[in-house]
Amino acid sequence: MNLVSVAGEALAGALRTVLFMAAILFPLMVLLEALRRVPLWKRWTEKGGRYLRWLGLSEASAFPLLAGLFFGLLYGAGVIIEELRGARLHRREVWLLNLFLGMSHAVVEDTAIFLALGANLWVILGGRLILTLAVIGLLAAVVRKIAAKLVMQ
Amino acid sequence: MAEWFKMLQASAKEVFYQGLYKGAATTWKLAKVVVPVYVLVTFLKHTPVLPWLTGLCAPLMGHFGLPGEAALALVLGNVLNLYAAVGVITSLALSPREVTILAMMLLISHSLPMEAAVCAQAGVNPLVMTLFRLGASLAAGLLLNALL
Repeated sequence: MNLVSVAGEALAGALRTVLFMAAILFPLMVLLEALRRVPLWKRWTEKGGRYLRWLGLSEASAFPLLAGLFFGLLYGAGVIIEELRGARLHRREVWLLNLFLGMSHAVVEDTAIFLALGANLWVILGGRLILTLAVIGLLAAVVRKIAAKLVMQ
Repeated sequence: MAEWFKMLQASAKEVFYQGLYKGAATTWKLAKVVVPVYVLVTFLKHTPVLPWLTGLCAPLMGHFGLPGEAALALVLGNVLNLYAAVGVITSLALSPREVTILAMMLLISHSLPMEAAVCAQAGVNPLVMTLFRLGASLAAGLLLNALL
């Protein structure tokens, strides 16, 4: 292995990744700041939050979940970091949110890649989402049971 | 009217600068792990570690209804990224059923060092995250092999 050429490849690739990341994270954070001031957005996330509860998530998870699902894990994680810093995201839901996004993220781009290779769309998109919902829903139910037991003691 | 417009202008400015500040802070926090992990993984790519891992995994591919050569796609996808796996898949003559199973496994777990490091910055243990995704991926492979 030629150390110099590998180091060059590594640094160039790392720089490209960081620049690409910044190009998405900056506008995403401006959007997040803007949406926070829109009353309609607040009402929507509160409404949507009700459907997230069985996954152990609150309405604060709505934006990171959407960012991760559509843009990718990196951007979902970026929003989670920001929401944690502002203490808007509950600590206890961070695990479930990360595990959810770990199994399902970048559902447009990544699905398209495999669709082009001949994979079945319903299986790799629908199947992946259903499996994710089932696993995270089950985990959330277990967490709730354990939490309830701890409260009773 | 003018008063209202000035207020909107002021808050648009505030939104913009706060967004930029938060974008910079988040990019910095992620770059701190993305750069070292990217460098590490690039070096790993040029060592015999990945072929060795592939050799270990190849005999297990039958459980997922996949040929032994598919192990290389799984290893490269999980350690490096999806595009490395796609390069392998295009060189194999796989049936639609095989591509679907392999795609599902790779979609659930890929780029594990990079994405686990990123999730660690978002407040979870990277090892648990990695094992969870690998487990889910293997389970999905077994499940699809039984169902399809």
